Amino acid sequence: MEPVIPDDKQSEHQVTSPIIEALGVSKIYKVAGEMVSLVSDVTLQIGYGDFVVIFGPSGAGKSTLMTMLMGLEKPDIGEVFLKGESLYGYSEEQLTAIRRKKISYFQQTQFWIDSMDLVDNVALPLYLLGKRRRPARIQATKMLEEVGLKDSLHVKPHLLSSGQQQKAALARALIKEPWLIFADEPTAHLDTKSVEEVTKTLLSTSKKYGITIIMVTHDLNFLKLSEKWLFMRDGRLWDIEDRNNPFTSIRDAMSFVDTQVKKQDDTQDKPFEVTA
Amino acid sequence: MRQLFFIRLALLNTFKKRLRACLAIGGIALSSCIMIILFGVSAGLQQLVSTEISRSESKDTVTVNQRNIQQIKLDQENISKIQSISGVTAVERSVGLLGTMTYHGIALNLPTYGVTKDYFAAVPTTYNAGSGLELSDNDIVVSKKVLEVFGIDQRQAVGRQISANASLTKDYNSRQTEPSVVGAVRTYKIIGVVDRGELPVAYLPIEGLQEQGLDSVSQLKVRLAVPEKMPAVRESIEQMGFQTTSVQDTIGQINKLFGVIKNILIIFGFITFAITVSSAFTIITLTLMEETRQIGFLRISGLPNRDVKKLFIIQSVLLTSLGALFGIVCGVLGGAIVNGAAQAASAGEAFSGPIIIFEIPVVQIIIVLMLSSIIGWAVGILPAKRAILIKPLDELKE
Repeated sequence: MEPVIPDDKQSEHQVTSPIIEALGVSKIYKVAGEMVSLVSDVTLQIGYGDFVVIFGPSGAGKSTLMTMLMGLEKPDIGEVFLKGESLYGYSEEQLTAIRRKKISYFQQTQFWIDSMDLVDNVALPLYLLGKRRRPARIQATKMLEEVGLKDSLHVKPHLLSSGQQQKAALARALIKEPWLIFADEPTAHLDTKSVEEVTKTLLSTSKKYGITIIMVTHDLNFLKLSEKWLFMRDGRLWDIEDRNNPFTSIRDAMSFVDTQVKKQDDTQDKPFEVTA
Repeated sequence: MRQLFFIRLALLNTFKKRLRACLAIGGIALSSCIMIILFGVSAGLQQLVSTEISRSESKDTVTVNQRNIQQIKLDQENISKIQSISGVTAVERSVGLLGTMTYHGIALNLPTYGVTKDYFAAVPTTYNAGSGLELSDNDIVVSKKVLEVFGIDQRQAVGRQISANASLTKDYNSRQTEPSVVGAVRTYKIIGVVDRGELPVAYLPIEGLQEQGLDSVSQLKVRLAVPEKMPAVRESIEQMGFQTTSVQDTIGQINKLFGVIKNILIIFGFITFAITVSSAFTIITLTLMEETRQIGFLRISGLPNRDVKKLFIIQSVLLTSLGALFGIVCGVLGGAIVNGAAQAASAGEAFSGPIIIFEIPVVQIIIVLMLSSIIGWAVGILPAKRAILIKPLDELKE
């Protein structure tokens, strides 16, 4: 199906005040003696409180891009800005402090410290911030109650179901009230009911706290819930501004992007909504 | 607060594999315990031997013997010369002879020493009963064995009358022509009982022997004003042709012997600690290999590299220090048991005080604690450096 991209959408979704911004970011690796660009010249802007979905086939460079946005790996070319400040202009010490205070990461299989109970595991980001154990545990308990796990406070987290573990991980990601949550396939391996519950909790709590969520996923159901669709393939990023297009698979998205690129090549002067 | 969390996390990580942690700590503890016991026993024995020797002879006393009985004699002329040496306060004489003691018709031949009145003041002695410090003309000090032979109870020995005489040899009487002349039997009052093990021995006043013709002695105990004068006094006496000895010589030899033992123990200690280093290193490296996801997660969560290092080093220092601490406690307890056993075994034996075979080796304890912390720190460094090279996101996705 040919997607319809109305012209006025571009201005409607213009990000005026980005919380995070990437300008011409590239990451190059040497693989078997050859230089391979895993992320090529990516530019993006994400606003405060946005829920952004980055999707694309495996090996597209989504995780590498996320690594750079999280301040874990410096891009070879380009800049990442957090609240207008160059992220890699900070010292290593400052970068880790930013991650400690304002960035959370949430993935499909959770890491837990098996010998600690759920409350301690959820309170862990607060311990890293130097908070005392008692108030940290009180805060973690409240957060767990908020995500619906008040009956599992003192169990070992690995004994919980996958859905419950994801909710607990969400509580852990939210507890320090971050600016940004990077979610890497958070609902993979979950049953339909758990996907719904986790998604609902993720969206409601992040809305409540005004947190920006950048999600890497293969689950295209998230597209209809998000404000921004970023498609990635072969290290390149397309900001798909027409969210009326109902992609049902990654393949759909790929053929859509191919069509748009072809169109853009044909009409060089015409403004195009799919930007690479 | 973050430090407390690290310590807690390090403890949890260390004891995650309990058996392995216990084996590692046990190994370190065992080696530390052995070291502490060996050093403690070595120090204790050294102290015990030195004390026992010091008790038998004062540190400010020089013993003078003839080099050869045929040559220069310890006669009145030489004794007067020795008395006049600067720093000498008193000279106590003794002569060893063969004597006979009779009690209720039972006769006993025994070594008999003729001693001056203040002889026992120069030779610190532990008495089973009475004392020899106020030895007068008709007094005698005997050993426990003498009483056993005569069937006298030690507690009732002091004050009893006993007959004794000594045979004077021509070595000690220049006017005598016969090899040996039996002296007149005299009655003495027992004033002290000493423990000389299975040896029957008697000490009687030398004055009676002088009346018999004694004009030289076999040994002198030269008492000094201050122990610092000892080298000079000894040199002067030796220049006269006599042989001198002092308790300091024996203590010096004992210290030399224990110095060698200590060096052997130090080498043994280094070998033990090399084993400790390798076991701690293996365990910390294994922990690193098992905890890469944890490190990945903590680094993504904003743990700085220096804190990742700190976590590993705390873990490593905890392992080695706990082992060392546990070993020290076991070593000290073991030493206390050794002391208890030694005291139980030596009850009623010839020692002059409580037996302390094991002395807490404070310096070695401090060294073991410091070394264990340094080793912990050193073996934690390399795995910690490897930990910060981990790609956190990759590890977390493993």
